[in-house]
Amino acid sequence: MLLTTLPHDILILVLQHLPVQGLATLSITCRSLHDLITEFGWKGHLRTNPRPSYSLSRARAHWSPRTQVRYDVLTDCAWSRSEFIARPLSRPWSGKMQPILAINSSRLVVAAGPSIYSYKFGDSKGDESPPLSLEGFFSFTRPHGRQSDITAITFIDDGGLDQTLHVGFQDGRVQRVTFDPPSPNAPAGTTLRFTSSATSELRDGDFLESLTSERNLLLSLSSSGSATLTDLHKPTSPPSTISLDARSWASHMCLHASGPYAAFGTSSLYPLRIHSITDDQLMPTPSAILYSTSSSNMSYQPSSSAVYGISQGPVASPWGASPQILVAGWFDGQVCCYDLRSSSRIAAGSGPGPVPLRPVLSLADPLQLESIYSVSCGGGSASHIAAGSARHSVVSFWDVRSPRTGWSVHAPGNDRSPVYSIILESSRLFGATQSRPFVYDFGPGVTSSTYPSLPEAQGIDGLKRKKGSIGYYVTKYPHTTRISTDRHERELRTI
Amino acid sequence: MVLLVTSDNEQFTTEKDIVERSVLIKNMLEDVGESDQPIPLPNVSSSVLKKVLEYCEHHRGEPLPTADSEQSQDETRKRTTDISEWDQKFITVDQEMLFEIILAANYLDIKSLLDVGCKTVANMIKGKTPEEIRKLFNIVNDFTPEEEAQIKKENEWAEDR
Repeated sequence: MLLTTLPHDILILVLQHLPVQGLATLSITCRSLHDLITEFGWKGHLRTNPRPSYSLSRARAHWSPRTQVRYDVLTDCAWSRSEFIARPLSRPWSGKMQPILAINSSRLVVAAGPSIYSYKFGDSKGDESPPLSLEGFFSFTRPHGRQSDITAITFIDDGGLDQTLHVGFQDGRVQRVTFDPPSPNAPAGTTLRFTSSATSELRDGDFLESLTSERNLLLSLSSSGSATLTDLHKPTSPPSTISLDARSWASHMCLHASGPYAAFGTSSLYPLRIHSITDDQLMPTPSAILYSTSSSNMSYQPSSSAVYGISQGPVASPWGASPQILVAGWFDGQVCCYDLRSSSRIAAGSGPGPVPLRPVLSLADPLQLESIYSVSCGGGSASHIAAGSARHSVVSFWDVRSPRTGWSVHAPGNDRSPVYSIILESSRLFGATQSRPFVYDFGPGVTSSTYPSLPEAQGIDGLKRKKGSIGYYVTKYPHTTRISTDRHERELRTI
Repeated sequence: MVLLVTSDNEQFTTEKDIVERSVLIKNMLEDVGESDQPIPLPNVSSSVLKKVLEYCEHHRGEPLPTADSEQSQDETRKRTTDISEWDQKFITVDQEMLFEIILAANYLDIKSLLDVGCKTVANMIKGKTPEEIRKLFNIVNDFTPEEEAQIKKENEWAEDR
């Protein structure tokens, strides 16, 4: 009996146990194995090595499985060497903004001040990286010319049009906004037309800090701690509202877990809490309270702290691809991973309510003990956590498979600003500082037409273009340097 | 006790909890109920069934994979490509027998054994050159030199990763 005479379904099982190098080598041996790998081998590899991303999803739908694997392998490789191309996505804004990013498979929007900038994802040509282009922007003005900054934004499901947002403003207004893509011959960066609907207003100076949406549900969190879950398909049914009674910052919703839940980050004695969602209703009592240090302290003393960023954990984590893995960024600079299924709870205190849950992993940039403002997961091997810091425009990265070897990088232009918002995809990190949005692209095939070209304005906005390259200079450093080392002496590497 | 009859007409008497590692036989026994009727296995020879029963006996009592665990197995596949020491020793057989065991495991629906077999074949392929693989498995190269060069070039990105 010969290997090639084994039934195909068995050979496909063998292929599933082969790394890419094995698949590539085996496909050179003979025609029948080559055809089998072309049809099933690469596809199987993609299934067991998912690399979720929005900005690539259109292009990937047209790529062959082999092309997708190639892109992923080259991307993972660049991640393992911390190699990427840094690009600002716009000229600096005038004035300091607190921008927020939102994404779906058609576009990335950046809300800065009273304006929304929309970047559209394109299809790729040949081996080139799928491009992203500024399709336009629009601003919200009120009667009498008053403006109000955007404080929260999320895309909501509009049946695949991908142009409907829910937006919260500093003055307490909340609106649904639908914008029109520009006409085909409009110049790049044109003003987009939009319509608002479903306007409501929060009272007493309250405003939304966070908006998230999944399927038909919209979760909003106001600065004073009012959390509301609305069914977008049933606008007349009363929303489910609970009060957290704390200055609130961040929310996260997960409906695809076996036990759907919402997570809330606040400034309080219980900065990070989980509330179950049952029958589209928020449960008023938390099901878990998450604690920030993994120390084996058996006595848990609640102390006031804050959580500013929450994200689902990376898909390829040592704890499995469960939606019950959560990552949070803390006031004290810690980035903590939690396994909501974990039994590693701190010994029960005397108080009532849920017992605090310890993180399964705590990370921190030893050179930058600033608060963490934003977290997102994905990256190379789908095993990375990214955290945006409160100062010096630093984004830190850790591979959860080897969390000791993290590294950090300053945004293009070295702003002193926080990184307010980040979105990490398999090959791309989108981020925004007070000055501008930017991208780090770890994928292959980035060309001068992948990202918007910016007029040269050297010296004015602190940007430096690398000679003969499409990337800009950024400063990065590994976390291996000891804390005692003088800041200025630490190993600074520019790429 | 269960009576099995192989393709070469040899009879094997074995215990129920051993042979029930085969989902095929387990379902058969459930359908038939208590019976002394021998179970014919026309696709399995006596030398192969002997090996398969040896495997089943060693792993008796271990939980059977359920449909639910399919997903989580997918996720953890990467970390479990290694084979346990006993299984490793068990599966160290000539190629002919290895393929026969794989076919039998597939037919009898013994997922863990099928996995061990397929992993073993994958391990034989890993780290080898195309020429070494052809030699090992008696594969005839039916590409023209031009075709082979082109495929090799197309897959350059996958080398040494």
